[in-house]
Amino acid sequence: MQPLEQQPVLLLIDDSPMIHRLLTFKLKNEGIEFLSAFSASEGLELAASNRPALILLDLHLPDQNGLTALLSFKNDPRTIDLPVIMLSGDTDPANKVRAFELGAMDYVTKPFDIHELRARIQSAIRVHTLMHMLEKRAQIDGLTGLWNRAHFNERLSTELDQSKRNKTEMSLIICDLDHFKKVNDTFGHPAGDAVLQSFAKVLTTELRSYDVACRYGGEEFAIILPDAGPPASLAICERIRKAIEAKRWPNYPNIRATASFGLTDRGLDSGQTPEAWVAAADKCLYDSKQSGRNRVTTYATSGQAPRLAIAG
Amino acid sequence: MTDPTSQLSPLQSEFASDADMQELIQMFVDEVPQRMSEFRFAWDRANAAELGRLAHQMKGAAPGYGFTPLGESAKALESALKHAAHDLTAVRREFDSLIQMCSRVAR
Repeated sequence: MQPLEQQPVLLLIDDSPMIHRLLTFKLKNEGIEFLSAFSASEGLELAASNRPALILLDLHLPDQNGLTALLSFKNDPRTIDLPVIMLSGDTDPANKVRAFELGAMDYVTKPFDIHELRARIQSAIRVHTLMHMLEKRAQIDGLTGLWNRAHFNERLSTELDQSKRNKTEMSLIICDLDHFKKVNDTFGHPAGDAVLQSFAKVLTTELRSYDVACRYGGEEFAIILPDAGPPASLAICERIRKAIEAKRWPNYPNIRATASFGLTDRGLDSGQTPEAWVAAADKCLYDSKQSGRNRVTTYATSGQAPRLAIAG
Repeated sequence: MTDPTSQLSPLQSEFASDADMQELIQMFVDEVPQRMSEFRFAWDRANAAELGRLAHQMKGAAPGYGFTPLGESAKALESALKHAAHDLTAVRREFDSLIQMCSRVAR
């Protein structure tokens, strides 16, 4: 999972090199990374590809009026959510009102007081960071701290696209705790929650830092393994299977937990949709359950019918 | 022949005593002759749009480097241009005083 805190990037779009130099210098100790654009078109391109934490946009640009540029930012899905502070030598209130109507976060007139501008920049970045955090929160499962299903759906598509584009391997695991209902019924829901949390802990311990572990449903989990083909992904499944099998709970000494796994990979077919990947992994999981649980079932790389790879 | 600009008092940055700003001010001052020739070039070609753009940039930047009077002078030229509707003779006074202000800029 990627870190939330990174050095914020600020994109300055202004046609005057004197302003670029002054701002870069004045903000050099703020822990901000600077991107420079001298025209609206250059700025739009940089904003879309780098997704800065904040954009400072001059009202007078050589190729386009700054307000027109602002409108383009707000009409482009890649930049619609990026906060923009308008920077202008123009004090006409009509322009200010128009800028706010178009979605600008703030409006600073030139010549600016550097202390004031610095404070406004910091405040804007703070708000952006908070929004980003809230957005991320909405994609995290409260009980286990893993990604939730909404994130999984989104992420599976992007990871598949990326794997197709880069011609890299990829695997998908769908797994399910065995007889979980019995744990809840026998030991109570707090015990069930403890098992779910332990399983999540096993996942984060056994997985690589760039694997994507998600809580798919009640006791069902989905894991995306970028850059991992059959031998590696099978080994990962086995490690997880053994770890949860060996797990004990001091508060509930009689609980034993195992999990069943369905594993599918790129060998299946590179043209498959996310839905087909999930269906294939689900089918393997079903076979694991049918053939006795606590085991891993995988698609053979030849793309034939599911075969039992490893029995627990 | 004496240079008439040499008679004028030098215009120093308001941040001249700020050690942090020295390098930045020096770069700004070093580039003023180039800015002046850009202004003259636009003037000689009666390019009002370019003059306006240059004045606008100078208005926005000069005060940041501590040259407020230079910014004011650029602002005067910019607004005179807006009212002059491309008749450059009407802004002669503002143009001359901006050039004069530029020539006074010093370390």
